[in-house]
Amino acid sequence: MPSVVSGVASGWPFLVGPGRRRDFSTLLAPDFLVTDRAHGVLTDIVSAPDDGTVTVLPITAPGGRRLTLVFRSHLVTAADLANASTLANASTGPARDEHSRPLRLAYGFVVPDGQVVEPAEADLTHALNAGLAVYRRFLDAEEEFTVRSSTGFRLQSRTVELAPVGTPAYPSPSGGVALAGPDRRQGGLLLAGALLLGAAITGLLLQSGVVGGDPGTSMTPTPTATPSATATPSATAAVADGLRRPRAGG
Amino acid sequence: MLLILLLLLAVPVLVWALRSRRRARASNHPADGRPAQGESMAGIPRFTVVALGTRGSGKTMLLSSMYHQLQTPTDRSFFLTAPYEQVMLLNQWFTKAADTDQDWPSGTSVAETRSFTFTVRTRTAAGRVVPVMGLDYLEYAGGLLTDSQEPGSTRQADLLRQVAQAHALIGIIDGHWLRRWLMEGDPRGRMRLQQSLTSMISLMLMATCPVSFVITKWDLLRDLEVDENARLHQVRKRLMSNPGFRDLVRVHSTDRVIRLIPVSAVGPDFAELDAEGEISKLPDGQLEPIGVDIPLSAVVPDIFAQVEQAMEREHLEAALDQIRAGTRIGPTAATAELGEYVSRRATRALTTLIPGAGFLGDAALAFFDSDSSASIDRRFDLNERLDRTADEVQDFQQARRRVLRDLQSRVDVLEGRLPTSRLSAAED
Repeated sequence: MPSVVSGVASGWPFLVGPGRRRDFSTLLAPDFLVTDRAHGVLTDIVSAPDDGTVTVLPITAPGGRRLTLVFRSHLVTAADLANASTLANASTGPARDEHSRPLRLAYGFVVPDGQVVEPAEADLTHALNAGLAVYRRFLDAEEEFTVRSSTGFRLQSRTVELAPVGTPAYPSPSGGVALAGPDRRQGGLLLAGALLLGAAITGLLLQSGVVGGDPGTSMTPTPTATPSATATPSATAAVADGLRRPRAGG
Repeated sequence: MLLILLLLLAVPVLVWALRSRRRARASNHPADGRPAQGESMAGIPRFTVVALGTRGSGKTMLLSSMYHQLQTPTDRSFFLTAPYEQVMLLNQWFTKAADTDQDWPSGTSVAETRSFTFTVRTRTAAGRVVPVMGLDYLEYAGGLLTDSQEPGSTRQADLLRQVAQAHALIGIIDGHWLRRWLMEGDPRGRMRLQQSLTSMISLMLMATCPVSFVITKWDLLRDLEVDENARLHQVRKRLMSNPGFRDLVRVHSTDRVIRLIPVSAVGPDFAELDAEGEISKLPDGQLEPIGVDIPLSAVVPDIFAQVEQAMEREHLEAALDQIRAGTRIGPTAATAELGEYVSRRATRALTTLIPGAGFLGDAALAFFDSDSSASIDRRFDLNERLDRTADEVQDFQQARRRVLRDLQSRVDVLEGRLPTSRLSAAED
């Protein structure tokens, strides 16, 4: 069982979104992903549902590092883009791209080597604020903009350590997560082993004449090897129902 | 003791049974949802269609509108089906777009790249609903065609691979940029159009599959010319002034007809450009798509013709396999039975009904005398089965031909209405 290490983990804000002209890209990413030139993995897999629910998604980044992403979507409003002098008059209506479509961002935080069991609203707010600050700069000069690095902050979310063994899970191209189940070959070997064991014991029992003995005799069943479906950390896109947040401009 | 023994034996058997059942279930319900349970897709071709279009060009709207129109067989002999979760998604997009109280859908993100797996179905003369072809349609973020790939991302490489393997390409030309260029004199419109053409030209020049061009948001160009054909002619003239586009048309039109198809996913009375230049839904707007089924109609008959013979052969072989499985005879004997059947049923002219059957008939002649040991009862049973199969194959092929004629007629109607839609490098 993973051990609970609530309150001690750090998270790194990230932001994936489109500009008015440019398409979706990672605009803010953890410094270690930017250094490793692996931040594009966020663009490839982060797709937040429109309804504002929170997604918790364990992934393995290029290079093998295991990460948990916590994110949700945000519809950008004019107020989000206003500066201090224009904020008072800014509308709460949606900001749009050059095709008249509302701008939708995915923001959140990355937790390295840890699983998030209960995301805290405060952590998501922290990530959104960091993301929007970057987003405003991005919209000022989309074509020249390059990804910004984020640094870690202390999380209030409840986290647990990731299981130390098993095949890392990596999201499938459809945006879901490939569950790391037992290897087919391994499953086949286990099955063959189980059959052999069954046959051997049957043979022994037949040889010793135990079979067909007193039906009232009670014995403890011998443990039998079966393929395990829980050898690796499960990768689930969990949705925290309690973390819905009203969407501005909806 | 017996209980223990049974338990020991039961565990592996149970494991095996569960695994088998899971495998069987997986084969009945493949992840892509192509065939329904128990439905054979043998001999049914599957084509991949990729719409090449930059961000905001209307790929998603075209897709959802096309599906919405083709999901029922109104005024046509065929209809489209898709796995349930894909139908839900397409209907969500369409509903959001059609609802004048809701905003436009946001753009497709890179992570939302997915392939929609459609099946084209028709009702045969005998009343069976049969699949006639499968269509995989890729949905992706248009920026993958124009933006440089970020470190750690693989989506662009995946897209290019799928484009290279596509059976047909549809080039999407954004009508909004055309309007900005042609009607508003906005140099940005010309620049964006140029960028869009450049991104698709390099990919399409490499392709050997059928290509078509689609002008989306055609409703925004209605004030360019009153006459629709004259409007399309103006657009075509501007497009052909682009050397890359002209070359592309020249290269591809040597083998087949290239079309320029105007479409509107929302129709003429749904949205308008407001004072700020934004496209707004009209409060009482009526969504009535125009021409959204034609892009597929323009490419499918062409790709079909290329695979038809192989497909007929595969279909017949699949039918023969079923007979073989039912009668437990070997491939040689089955072929011989069919050979004799073909000979005896000359009046039915099976080989003309089934173009691919000729090879089987020929091969069967060699075995014609080798099955004299077969009992009369068995032969009677086999002949009945073959009769049924021949009828079903004929029924299916007639239905498929009707679908193809239907697809072709839609393109013919377009060409009759808009002769300019037929592109040719020589004329411009």
